Amino acid sequence: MKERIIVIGNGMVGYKFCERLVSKDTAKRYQIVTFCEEPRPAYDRVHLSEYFSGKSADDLAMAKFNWYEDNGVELHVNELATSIDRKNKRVLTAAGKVVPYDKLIMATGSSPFVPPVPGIEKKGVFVYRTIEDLEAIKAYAKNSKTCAVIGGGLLGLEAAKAAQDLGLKTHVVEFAPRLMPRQLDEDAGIMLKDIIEERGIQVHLNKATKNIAGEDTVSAMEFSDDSKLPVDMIIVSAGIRPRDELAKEAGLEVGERGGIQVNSLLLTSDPHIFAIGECALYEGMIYGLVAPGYQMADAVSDLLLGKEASFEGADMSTKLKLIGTDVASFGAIEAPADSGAREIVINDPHSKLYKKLVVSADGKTLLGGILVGDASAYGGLLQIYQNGLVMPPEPIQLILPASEGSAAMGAHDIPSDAQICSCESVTKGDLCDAIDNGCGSIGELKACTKAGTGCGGCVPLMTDIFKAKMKENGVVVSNRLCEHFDHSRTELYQIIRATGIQTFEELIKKHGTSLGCEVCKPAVGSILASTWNKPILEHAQLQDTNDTFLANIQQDGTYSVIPRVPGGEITPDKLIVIGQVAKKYDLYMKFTGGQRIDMLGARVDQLPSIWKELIDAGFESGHAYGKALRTVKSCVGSSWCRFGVQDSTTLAIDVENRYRGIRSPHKIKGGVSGCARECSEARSKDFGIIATEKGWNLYVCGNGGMNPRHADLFATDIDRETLIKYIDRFLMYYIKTADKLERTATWMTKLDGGLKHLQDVVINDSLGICDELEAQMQQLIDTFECEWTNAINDPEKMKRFRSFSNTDDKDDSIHFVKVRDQISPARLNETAEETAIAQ
Amino acid sequence: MITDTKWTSLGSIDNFPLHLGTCVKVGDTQIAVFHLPTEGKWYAVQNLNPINERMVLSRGMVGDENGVPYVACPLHKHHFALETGMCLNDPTYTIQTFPIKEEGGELIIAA
Repeated sequence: MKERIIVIGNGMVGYKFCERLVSKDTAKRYQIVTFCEEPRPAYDRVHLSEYFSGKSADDLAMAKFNWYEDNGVELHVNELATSIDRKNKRVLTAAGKVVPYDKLIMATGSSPFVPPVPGIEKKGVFVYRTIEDLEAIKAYAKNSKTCAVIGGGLLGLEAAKAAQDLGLKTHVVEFAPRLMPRQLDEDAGIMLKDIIEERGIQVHLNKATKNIAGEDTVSAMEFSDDSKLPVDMIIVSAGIRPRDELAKEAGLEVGERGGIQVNSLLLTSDPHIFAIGECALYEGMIYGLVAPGYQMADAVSDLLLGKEASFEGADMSTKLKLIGTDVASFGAIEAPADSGAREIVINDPHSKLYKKLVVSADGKTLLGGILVGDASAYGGLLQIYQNGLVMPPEPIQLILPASEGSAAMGAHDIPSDAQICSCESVTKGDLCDAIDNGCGSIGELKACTKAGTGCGGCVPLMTDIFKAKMKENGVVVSNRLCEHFDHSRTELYQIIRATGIQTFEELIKKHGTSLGCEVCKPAVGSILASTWNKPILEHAQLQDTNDTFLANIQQDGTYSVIPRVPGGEITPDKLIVIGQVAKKYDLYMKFTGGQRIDMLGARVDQLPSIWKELIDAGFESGHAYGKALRTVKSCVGSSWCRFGVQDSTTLAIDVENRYRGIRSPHKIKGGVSGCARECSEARSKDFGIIATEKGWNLYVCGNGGMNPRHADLFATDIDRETLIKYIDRFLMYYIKTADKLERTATWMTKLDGGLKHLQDVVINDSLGICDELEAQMQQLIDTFECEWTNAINDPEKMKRFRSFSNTDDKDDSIHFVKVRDQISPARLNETAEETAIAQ
Repeated sequence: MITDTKWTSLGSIDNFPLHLGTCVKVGDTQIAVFHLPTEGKWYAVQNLNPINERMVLSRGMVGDENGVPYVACPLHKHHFALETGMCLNDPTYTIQTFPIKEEGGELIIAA
């Protein structure tokens, strides 16, 4: 007979307990029954405000309904537990159920604290805790203009951001003299206030609310200093109160200021009842963060299975993005009095950065710290703090901006019992064990240990540890393409060129296994295209939807249209045609970052006629959908600009036309500037050309992607002919040797010898391949064909540009709303009517 | 148990390109049809990706994971097994599958 565990409360911590126990209780010793007062199972309250930015209640769910069923957890939503009969070990519910238990877990959480200010009961006052609260706020905001948030703590600032996102003029009212008084010191508070006010949210400090004015509905807040703030609505976020009423009524010991008293085994005063999460009071502390709650859930699940575990307090460290800015703090935020401890502070109001370390008198131990504006050092600092690691001789190195060579914490220096993922309590030792047991990728490591699946903050550190451990184990991190090919992209490139294989089917039959996947197919498609340069639709099944429909898919399943505008130069007549086409098909228009025009919102069945009109007017495909040359950006150069020293526009147009359509491992962009002022931002491109008095300087391997990188100077004062020759060789060498989806910047940093090697190959022909590189490039240039012209002239290819193959119906699942007089994809479940009312 | 299957014709198999997905409409339902010629098999699944709630699966690429054929959503690459409809990244999601076969040069579906 199974023992029954009842969990009262299905919030994040209640759910986590169920998840942990289910996964550990392999002998199926327990049956779990859980009661949830809310209408839906546990959801992620930490990311609650994302509900406003488009996430649905389902997206936020910790697990779907069927998770509970599949794992034998009996879940009762909408059912409040109303009393505990400890004598007979039974729980009574609002629906009249009487359920006996062997062990009871109180995971009742907390409720928002609403200060007893006169008028607080008026219409227009909300709290910020549940999805229902958010729905009410959203509905009320439609008829409001201004909103005040009472409380300048973590949650209050979250709520303020949400209110601002709803289009409300937003104020934050805080009783204390600074924001986030529990996590920040005075200077950090001032910095955060400046940043927030700069983003349009007004902050009022030292304000005690005396009265909330208005007839039935809120009209203004009145403060004890007799000032007044007119507002339409108020969100109260002034702290939490543990939900201990059920425990109190059952005679369990509770704290003077609330909270169910627990010991280090998380047991309440009744040895059959545990309490975890925000309702539990441990050594006078209520932990209002999710990580300590998870630690408690984990400990209780172990204890129930007879394992040794305890909870001995938790660290209150936090790292958050608040209103778009990083805020983090851990440990002591100020040097404890008389401790001799020192504070190391960087306070840069210009760059809006505040960083502080609290270190022991001997400078060896990190006691705590604060980061505002840039929290990238947080992961490393937390490791040092939590594990008592010895600090470097100059601790300030730890918080200097990265460009100045800060001493990052190496993966090797971290002890094996150091906790890497605090959400899931995973140590470095756990990660290393999992790697030893066969986890061969970050994905597998996440799935196997759960590390990095909570807040995600530890993923960079986890990746470093993974790489270091693999190296230590002597495993070369395999660069095989995927499970279907045991070759890298470079090896496949050589196979294809050497054997003359022209199709994926032949390649996978001879050199791979099974059907292929969305990793190897496009990679092979790209190699075939850069080797034989046939129109991309000839191997359409290898391409992602972007290449199969010669357009970029958007989040709503429609596509974008970008014709080539070489060098960004366009005649008025052509510009008018773009405008007319966009107007005719009601497309959304926007300039791209590469000096051309994007038209969005086209259905597949509209693409051919849109392109026909553009091609008739002299346009051609811009290859914006392909891993190919995109644009070569230019300034007006010496033909117009009084500072220009060379004709950058003509060069950019020629270069763009030379390499248009060439498929490469990743997309490529170029830039040409007419003088050293660099208006084309050429140094942020894969290849950049900057005019000099004597000719041109060539820069390579820059990009503006996820990790911006300036291109390196490759050759100086060269003439046009040499320049083109070098770019030909450079691009072809990249195409031949880079890994799949590897940008030029990453490719070069991985090349043995880096820039020097590249210069040797391209300029000095150290490998003796320059003739071959040039010839292969010339072949690609000679076989160029506009893919859209090719496609619309081929009835067989046109067959697929229909919404449905068996009817001419249009896809009626696509809806738009109007934003700033243009179409915009309707958000999920957003109907045209709703939007009309909102406006 | 389906005892009385009603088959609908989707027209000539020539209208369905090899390897690629094709979208058809049966009644009001959008269905994604895939042909894997190396396996000699046809598959039909709902066109709606339940995760992002967009009608896009017919435009995804097909592949296999340890021999299980799947379609990868073109938006965020969720994998759905073509045989069972199960989402291979998150088994809490399943999509509907439909019986489909070739008969006399025509493709027919039970939907």
